[in-house]
Amino acid sequence: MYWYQKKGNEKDVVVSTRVRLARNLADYPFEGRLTPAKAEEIIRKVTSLFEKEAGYEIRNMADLSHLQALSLCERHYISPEFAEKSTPRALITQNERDTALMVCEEDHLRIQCIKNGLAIEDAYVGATEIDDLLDEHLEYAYDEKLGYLTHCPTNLGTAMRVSVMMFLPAITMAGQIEPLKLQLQKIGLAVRGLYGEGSDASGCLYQISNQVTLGITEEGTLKKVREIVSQIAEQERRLRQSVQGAAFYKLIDRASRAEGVFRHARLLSSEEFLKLYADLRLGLSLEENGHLTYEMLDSLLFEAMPATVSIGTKSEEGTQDLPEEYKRDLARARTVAAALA
Amino acid sequence: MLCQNCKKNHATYYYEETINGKKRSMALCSVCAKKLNPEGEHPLDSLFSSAFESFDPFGGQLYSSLFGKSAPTVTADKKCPLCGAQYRDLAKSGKAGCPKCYEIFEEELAGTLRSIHGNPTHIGRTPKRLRAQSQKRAELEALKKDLQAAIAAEEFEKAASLRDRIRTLESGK
Repeated sequence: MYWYQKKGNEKDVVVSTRVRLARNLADYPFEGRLTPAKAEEIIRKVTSLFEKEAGYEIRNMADLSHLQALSLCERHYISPEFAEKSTPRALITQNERDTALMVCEEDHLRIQCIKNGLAIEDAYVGATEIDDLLDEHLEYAYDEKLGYLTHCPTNLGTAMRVSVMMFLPAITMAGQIEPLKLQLQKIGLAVRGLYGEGSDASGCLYQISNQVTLGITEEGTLKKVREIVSQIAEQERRLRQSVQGAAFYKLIDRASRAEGVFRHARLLSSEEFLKLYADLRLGLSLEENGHLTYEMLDSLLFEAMPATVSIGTKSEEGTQDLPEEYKRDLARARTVAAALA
Repeated sequence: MLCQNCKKNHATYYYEETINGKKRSMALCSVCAKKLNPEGEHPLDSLFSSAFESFDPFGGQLYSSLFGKSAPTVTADKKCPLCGAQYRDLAKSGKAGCPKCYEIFEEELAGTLRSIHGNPTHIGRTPKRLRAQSQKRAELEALKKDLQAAIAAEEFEKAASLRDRIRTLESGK
């Protein structure tokens, strides 16, 4: 079972929680100065530690197609940079624990634990399990003053990034995202669109994450993110509850229409999907819907992405000559309709 | 890098100007920088700051204001023994060449690290091999603080016992 198919907490406002730790080996240069031979050496050292551990899956990224790598990225197992790189790299995953370890990303080791819904502590515990296992056998690059040494100096210290993906349609509609961004920036937190840095927020999905890594403990960071996320969640819920009268019916009408399109559309672009996903997801929190769950919708959010949808479905009879985009939109519509059936 | 204006001196400034919507940027030495911008204020940032803008997580606002007006003193030929990087490589990419770079270019990087992180020391997790050591150090620091407090409060008996514990801990090094 993938992480997004499991049950999550506070799903009305939170899609997922991720904790990422960056680690490097003391005796090797960083990306850019790391020769392919040295990268292979790191990969061998690291993968050998997991070969005998139960439940771990090791992938040499060179064995995957570009589409498969992109699909892993769409489902948040790896970063976009890792998907696009052509240098030697490996991915180690543990599905039961929802953990993934990228070997030879920007840093030698990027440990992550991603959980469905709000689960900040669980995600941290998951990430530290891998950290402890690696620490037992490898010599980490570490400095007393600067903490874990990372390729990019902005990650020094705990080298930890906690990010919570929130669904904030009411705050978005109230025009409060920009003020929220400014407010959070002042206290060392960032708000970004769904696909990380430099992307527009689509589907009313935002990532709230810590920026400060030096001079703060891991526990302090977790606490800070937890407190802010719960404040944002409260604000979002308050705004949703304040929707009454005509506006309320307008929103639940939108949700019902979105469901109709999801069930019956034959072509569904990713932009339209994201828009309808947001309408339907908001509708779920305003009015009971006996046959839909947040988990179902969020699974679609990851499985209806371009690369994943292309891999997951065989093209229909007679569509072979259509442009790729059409094939994808056909496949997306089929995936969505099948999930809701 | 040589100054793009006189092509003689080392460039230590990054100059950017926008005239009628046309953007022009160049690396300059301090003499040419002064000539082009006599007040020597806003558009001048150190080379390192311009290099950092490319990965700026704060949207370009912080570095321009936080980075010093002049580039840090650089020992031109100093090379990192592990990865071979020079300070200018770090400045160009905005990233360290290897973990050792942080030690080798400690002085050169100090200003940049201060700009990013302020002036704190790491207080989070420690690798296992150093955990006992760092616990001991924290304990020693706490004991020394208590000792000072005990002396100040003229609690000499307590102070003597604290001193003994400090000695025992230190001798175990």
